[in-house]
Amino acid sequence: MMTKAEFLNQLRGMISNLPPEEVERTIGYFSEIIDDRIEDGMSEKEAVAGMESVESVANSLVPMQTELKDMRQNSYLASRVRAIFLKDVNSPVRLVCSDSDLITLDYYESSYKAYHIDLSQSEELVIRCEILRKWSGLFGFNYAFRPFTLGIPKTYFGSLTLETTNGSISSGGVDVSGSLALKTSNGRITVENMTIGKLLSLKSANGRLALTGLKAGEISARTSNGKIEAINVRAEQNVALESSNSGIHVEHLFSGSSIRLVSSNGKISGQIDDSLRTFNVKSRTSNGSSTLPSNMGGGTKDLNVFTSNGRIDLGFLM
Amino acid sequence: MDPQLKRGLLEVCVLTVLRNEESYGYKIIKDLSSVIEISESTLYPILKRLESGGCLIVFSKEHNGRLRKYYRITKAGEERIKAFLEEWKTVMDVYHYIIDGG
Repeated sequence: MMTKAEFLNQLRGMISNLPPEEVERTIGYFSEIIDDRIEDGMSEKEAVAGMESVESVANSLVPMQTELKDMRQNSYLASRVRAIFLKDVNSPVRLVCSDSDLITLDYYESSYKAYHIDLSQSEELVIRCEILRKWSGLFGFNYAFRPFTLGIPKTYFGSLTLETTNGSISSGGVDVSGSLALKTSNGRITVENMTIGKLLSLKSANGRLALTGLKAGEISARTSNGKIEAINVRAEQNVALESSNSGIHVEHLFSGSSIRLVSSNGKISGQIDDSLRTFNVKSRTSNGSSTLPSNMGGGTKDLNVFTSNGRIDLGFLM
Repeated sequence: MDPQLKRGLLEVCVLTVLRNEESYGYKIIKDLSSVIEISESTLYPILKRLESGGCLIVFSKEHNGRLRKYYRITKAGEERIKAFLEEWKTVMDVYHYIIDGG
């Protein structure tokens, strides 16, 4: 019968082909399991004997080596790419800062999923994913749901269109001089701390949309079944937030020209960084109370707020 | 059971345990043992994959004078459960087709 130290030493020897930090994590994990078994009332040797053999433990870690094998990394000089198009399936998509002048792609390929990447003459980087086997999601995260991470410089001079199904999209900490379009079927979309020169457009069928700390030329956010939240958001031109079945909440929202908030079955609430008199107001709710006049002229900007089955509760600056 | 199918099921089972409360390796195995067979060495790569996929976060907490790793589900993890259930609906249609004899 082996002691804990003997077990861990043998295991260490058998997984030495993994990266060193991975070896330490693995040893830490099995050490903890043995400690927990002992705490549960077993003697040290019983605890170790009750585990699988070192060989079978080491063998079961082979998929981790496959995982490393599936990892892909690509990079492009950002100054040579003026637009990025990503069309993914099932993967969550993350737009992050690459902390360099490169566009970086980190993703996974397997027998279930492949990516086709093409940088065209017109400097468009087109990334398209192909599902090689149907229902791959049932066979585990390993194959279908691993994330696609796109890194861009802190300030990127170009435009991006990122699309996925079933996965969430997050984006933050970078500035984009052109437009940014994010679209998913079932995931949420989060956009934080960004400046977008032109249009920011978000579209999700069933996900929530969260916008925080943004400046953009123009903003359009649409979802069917999710809530929309916009906090500290400023647009030079129009802002349009539309949700069919959930509420819309805004705080410190500002627009240089018009604000449109539309829901069918949700409440519209929050506060706009402008005085009410700045606006030509049109508002309507069929089954709720409202803090807005239904029709008011004399302003320089437009404010349109409509919902059928919710309350309208919007505040303004004095 | 097909090993890849089992792996897919296990991932969602682990997320389901964590949806109830944050937990640690040994306890996750114990909690799941009545539902599906899972060993220490099967759990480890699953936790790792779920972590790298953003479905859970890992943190250490002191326990009886040693550090124990705890796992907590994220929003992405909850979405993963939902997506799994959606996808299974398609499979269940096929299942019923087969059961009913075509």
